[in-house]
Amino acid sequence: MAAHATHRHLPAGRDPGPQSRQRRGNLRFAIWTALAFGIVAGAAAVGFFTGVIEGEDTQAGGITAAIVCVLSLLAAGLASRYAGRARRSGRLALTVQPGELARGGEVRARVRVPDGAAAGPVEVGLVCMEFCDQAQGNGKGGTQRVTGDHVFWETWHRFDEAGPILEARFDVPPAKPFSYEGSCVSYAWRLSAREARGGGRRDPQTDEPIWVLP
Amino acid sequence: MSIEIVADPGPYYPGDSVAGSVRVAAGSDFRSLKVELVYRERTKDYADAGRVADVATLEEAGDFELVVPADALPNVAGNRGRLTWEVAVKADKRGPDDHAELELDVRRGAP
Repeated sequence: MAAHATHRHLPAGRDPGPQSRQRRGNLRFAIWTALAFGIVAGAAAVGFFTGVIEGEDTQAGGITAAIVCVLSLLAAGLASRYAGRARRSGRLALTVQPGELARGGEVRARVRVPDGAAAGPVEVGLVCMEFCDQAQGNGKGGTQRVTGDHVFWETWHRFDEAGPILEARFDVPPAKPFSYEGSCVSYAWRLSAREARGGGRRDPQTDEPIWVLP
Repeated sequence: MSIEIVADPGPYYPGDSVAGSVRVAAGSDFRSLKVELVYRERTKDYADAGRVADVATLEEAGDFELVVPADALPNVAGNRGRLTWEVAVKADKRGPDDHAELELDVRRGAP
């Protein structure tokens, strides 16, 4: 499978670095672990309620197992959502030119708004993400290495009255990071188009990664 | 044992030479000094060598010269992470090795 299909922060033709591969592996492990817990707890709940599993209070056991099942499946769903950064995929069609450029260069975004897709304003942005490994408490007195991510820099154009085609141009700041896939630090750039409904991260958004050269 | 790296911190550009010297405290006992030009990734908690571009080995404290590669990426300062070029010295001795680093300012393109 192409790298950009599993690592959505990367454009086609760019391979993930050690940090991205590790991060992806950790998320997959979390998803499968939570799913396994959920399935086992679900089976236990069925067992309690149907009397296959006998005990002093099978009803309490069944309720507990059912709650564990629901929480585990919720955790798996949240981890899966995080894995793909699957913000609600927008209906806005976003194309970017060029897909690779040097810092200081200009990138153009073209957004096609299908009929009725944008009930409100549309925002088109250029975003730089920073991924950094950090030590996080593991609950046993030790630490574990996790990768945190945050928006390092962003700029947005707002279109209050969205027509069928929107165009925006952005200059990549020469002093900001270039795209980099490392072992404990990475930087990724993308263009985004979102329907600004006031829902913050819940607003439908379409992303298109680009590669910024030094 | 204390190690001191003496070099101009820059700015440097791809292809430049980095000349400097390594000083160690008198009476220090080491087998050799390894001097590396490293592109280092750093966060608050971790550091990894993204690339070792040049290496010099010294049998005693003294001068070194390393070359910034032609395709050197520039330094980057993020919010929680950094990418920086460093001269890193490792003193090979009995027991734990001693280390010292000096950060360099490496930029893209000619001045």
